[in-house]
Amino acid sequence: MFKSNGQTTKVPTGISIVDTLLDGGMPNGDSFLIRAHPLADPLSMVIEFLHNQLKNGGVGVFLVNNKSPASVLEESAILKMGLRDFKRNGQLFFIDAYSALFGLRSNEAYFVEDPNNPVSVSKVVAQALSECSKKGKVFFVYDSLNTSIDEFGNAILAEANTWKRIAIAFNAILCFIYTEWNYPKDISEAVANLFSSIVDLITLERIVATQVVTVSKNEGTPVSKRMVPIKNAVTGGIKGYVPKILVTGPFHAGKTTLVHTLSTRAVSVQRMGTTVALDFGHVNHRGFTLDLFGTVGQPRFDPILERLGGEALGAILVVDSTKPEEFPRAKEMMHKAGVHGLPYVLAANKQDLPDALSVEEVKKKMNISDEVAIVGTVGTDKVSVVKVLDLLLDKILST
Amino acid sequence: MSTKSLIDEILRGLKSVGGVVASAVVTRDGLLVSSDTSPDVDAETFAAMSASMMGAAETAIIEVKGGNAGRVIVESNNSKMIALGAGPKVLLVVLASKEIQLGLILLKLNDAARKISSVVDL
Ligand SMILES: Nc1nc2c(ncn2[C@@H]2O[C@H](COP(=O)(O)OP(=O)(O)OP(=O)(O)O)[C@@H](O)[C@H]2O)c(=O)[nH]1
Ligand SMILES: [Mg+2]
Repeated sequence: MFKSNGQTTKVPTGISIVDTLLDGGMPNGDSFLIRAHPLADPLSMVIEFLHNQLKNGGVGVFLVNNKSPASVLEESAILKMGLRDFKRNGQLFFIDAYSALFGLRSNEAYFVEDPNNPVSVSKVVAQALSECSKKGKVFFVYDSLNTSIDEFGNAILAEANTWKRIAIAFNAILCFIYTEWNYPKDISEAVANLFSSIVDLITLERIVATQVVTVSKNEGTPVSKRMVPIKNAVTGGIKGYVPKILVTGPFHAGKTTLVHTLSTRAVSVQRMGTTVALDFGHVNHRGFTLDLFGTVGQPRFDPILERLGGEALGAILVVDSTKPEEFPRAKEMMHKAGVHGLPYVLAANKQDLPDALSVEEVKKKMNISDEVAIVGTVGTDKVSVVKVLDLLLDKILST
Repeated sequence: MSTKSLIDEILRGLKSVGGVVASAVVTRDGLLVSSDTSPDVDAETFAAMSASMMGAAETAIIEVKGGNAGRVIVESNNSKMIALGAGPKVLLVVLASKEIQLGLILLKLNDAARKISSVVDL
């Protein structure tokens, strides 16, 4: 393995949660691995990486050995991260190691005539990297490493080392896609050892399918796994995803107001000034998309409260700071909604009213532990309610 | 195959039933599992609202001792929306054209709900 001597600079992927996990971005002049569970979807992440590099004036080199270049272009169009124009502009070049498998020729810039021979694949890669590096900073995608392993076994790993050398020489970034099928342990380990940075894509088989991204190695150092659930938004690419944050609290505390202040889009089922079903809003914050579920407040609607708390990842408890008599009800609601014990932040709302208790007084009266963050808020004041969300997101990510 | 892709398949099958415009599977607590709707529909919002509608209906009918709610049917000026339980965890919600024959579509929906339930609860 080639050590980076601490000399590497980072190049942001442009997906903010991944950049955070990678401490700034991809290693310059090095290669990294995207390792995916069989049900995860590494291609859309790589397309977004590539698209971002091309937008910044970089040069893309994309090797395909298990799909046609056209199918990559199609996928990019579906993701609204179109690559076709970059190819036309002479910014993106494909290495076609696919067509020849079917006895077809290829019109792509680079063509591997004998994809069954690792040395001939390697030769074309080396040629493409050195030629394209003259045009600009290269981001190279190898899709996929496991197709090569299936074909050549360990032999391909020796070739990968050659390419890494080229990456260093030309200061290129090499990104290898690898789906972790059930390979023998020695192969899995050899692959993992080859790369100094590894981004993992994991799928959790729940009813609501979730993809999680984590970084298990960063510049040669194993990283404690912080798992971030992600979602591929139809437009706007990959974002961290928190599918449910419950916003609860007593009647008229300001839940609906808070949800609407935080959300880019929200709907509420309001009848005669009170929520009769729920508030629902989408929020974009720190590279995350979060969905807020604002609950009913009045006890007569408690059956709905009890039904909607499931699968929340955290909660915002809203109280009216002028109504200490409602505080016990607030605590009861956390239990009824089944979110007691989850990360939560207390919003001491209506701080603008003259008779509002101070944050300290609310905290004391509610008798909550010091670990719980509490923020004084005004429902319509974005700064104060974003603070609540910010603290909650920190808590969710650290559990 | 993932649970989601199996459910996607069942929803695709429903599309072939005449008059079905859109469909979704949502958890009873309001999260979207899978949907087959036009791209301009906010499917997550639809999921959350469908679940609270079903929850409210179930509670209401139990309160008046009217038995257990099997499904909720909403008729609008240009369509029908039908929500029904598909096992203990999820709901199937379908939007159909106004002209559709309820009897016929309910047969198909019950069938689909049974399949979804066995995929989810297995
Ligand atoms: N002065 C003041 N009024 C607020 C604040 N937040 C909300 N309100 C008002 O309080 C009333 C109730 O607010 P909502 O957001 O509907 O409260 P809610 O908790 O959703 O109420 P329910 O759904 O009925 O339980 C509305 O008239 C709001 O305008 C605040 O910070 N200060
Ligand atoms: Mg409300």
